[in-house]
Amino acid sequence: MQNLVKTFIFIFLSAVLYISPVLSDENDENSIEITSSDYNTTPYDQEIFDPFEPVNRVVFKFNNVADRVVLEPIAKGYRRLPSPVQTGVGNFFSNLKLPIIIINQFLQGQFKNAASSTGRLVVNTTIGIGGLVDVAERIGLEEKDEDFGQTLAVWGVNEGPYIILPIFGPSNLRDTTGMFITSLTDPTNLYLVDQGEGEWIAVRTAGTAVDQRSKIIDEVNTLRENSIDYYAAVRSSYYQNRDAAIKNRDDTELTPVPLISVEFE
Amino acid sequence: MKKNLTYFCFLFFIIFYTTNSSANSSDVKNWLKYEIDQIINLYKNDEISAEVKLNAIKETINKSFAGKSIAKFVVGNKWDEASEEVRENFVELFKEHLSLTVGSLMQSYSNQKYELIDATEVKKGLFKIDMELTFNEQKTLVTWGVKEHKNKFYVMDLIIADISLMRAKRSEFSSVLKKKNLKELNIILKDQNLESYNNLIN
Repeated sequence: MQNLVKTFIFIFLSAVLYISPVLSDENDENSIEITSSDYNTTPYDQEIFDPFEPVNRVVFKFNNVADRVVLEPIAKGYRRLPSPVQTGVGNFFSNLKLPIIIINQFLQGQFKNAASSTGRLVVNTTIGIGGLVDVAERIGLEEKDEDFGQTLAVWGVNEGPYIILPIFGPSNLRDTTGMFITSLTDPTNLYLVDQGEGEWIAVRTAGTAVDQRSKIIDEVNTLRENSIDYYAAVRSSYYQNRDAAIKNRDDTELTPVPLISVEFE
Repeated sequence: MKKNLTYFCFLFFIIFYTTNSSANSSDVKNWLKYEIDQIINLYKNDEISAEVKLNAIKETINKSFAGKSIAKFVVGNKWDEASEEVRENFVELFKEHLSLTVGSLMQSYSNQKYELIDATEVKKGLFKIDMELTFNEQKTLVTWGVKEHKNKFYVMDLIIADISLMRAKRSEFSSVLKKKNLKELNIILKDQNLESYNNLIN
């Protein structure tokens, strides 16, 4: 009989212990334990190597004004164009990038992706009317982005100091070097120069910038209007995005990041 | 009698452990879908004022976000240095700041379609849910970080195009906290919230 009582007391206590956390603090989020590892980061903010911060902040301000006065209004106008036109223009500029993406995929040893990108280039340039229609996506050849900055990172080159480039926006020494290599080796640009049509390079760069900017008007405004330090918010966003791109966490072409940057094509 | 009691105890513990087991990916996905749908249904209705929509977001953030824990994370070691009163003030201001940021993001909502494509438990009680937003053939990947606590779910991060909102906020606040303390940050945040509110409502 004593054993029976003991057992019932045990069951009763177990039930109480089980129910009590659910009943108490039902709406209380105060005791949730969140660690820095939940965010894949360190306990305290990782210092980004930014020795030129005072100069960078000045250039950042200049870029911000240039964006508000020139790029954003043009991007807003562009966004009023019919959706198929915008999609076609975006596809066209993306297709022009493919040769340099293929080169970088080879240099990083991503042979399968390089083959897929080559397939994209052939299909979209021919059946897709010069790249205006993304036929390749529909047959499973997904767009993946790679550049020389990422290739240098894969090869073990250190990122170097954070730099804000006039007009081109956030970068670091490694990515700036990558951009410089791109400007010298991009097959599309080399072809244009060879044909004596070098001025189209500027048109291409500007066109890509407007197309990319038009996709992130609201995101940039949200970041700009809700940050107590917009410069630091953009710097963190840049590093997070580049880190993901280098590790190929998600290298498919989705929305560009909410940064004001112009890629050199 | 003893045999019956053993049988009863066995049954009790089977029920006890099965009902006490952690949530799975499907539970968290359903919970998130419900929370998102509630907000989206409000934003679909043009007759509802911006103020009412913002209040709904505030309510959701108070109820479903790990506000205090995120606030503690974004200020790092400055949390320990501040008084209880300053901390409490910061938590309230930070929750408002989050509401205004999410409200500002939602302002551009215009019937985008969304799909919760994947939910994974990355470690015990921590889920990552991928959501694909589609508008004009353009796709955006948004990942929700959700923590399970006392059989309830709480959002602890929002990752848009590989950028964690909370990590970006921590970096932003750290930059300010290099020269200021938490009390001074509260003043700056209060002004920022007022400015954001005016941008959103007016």
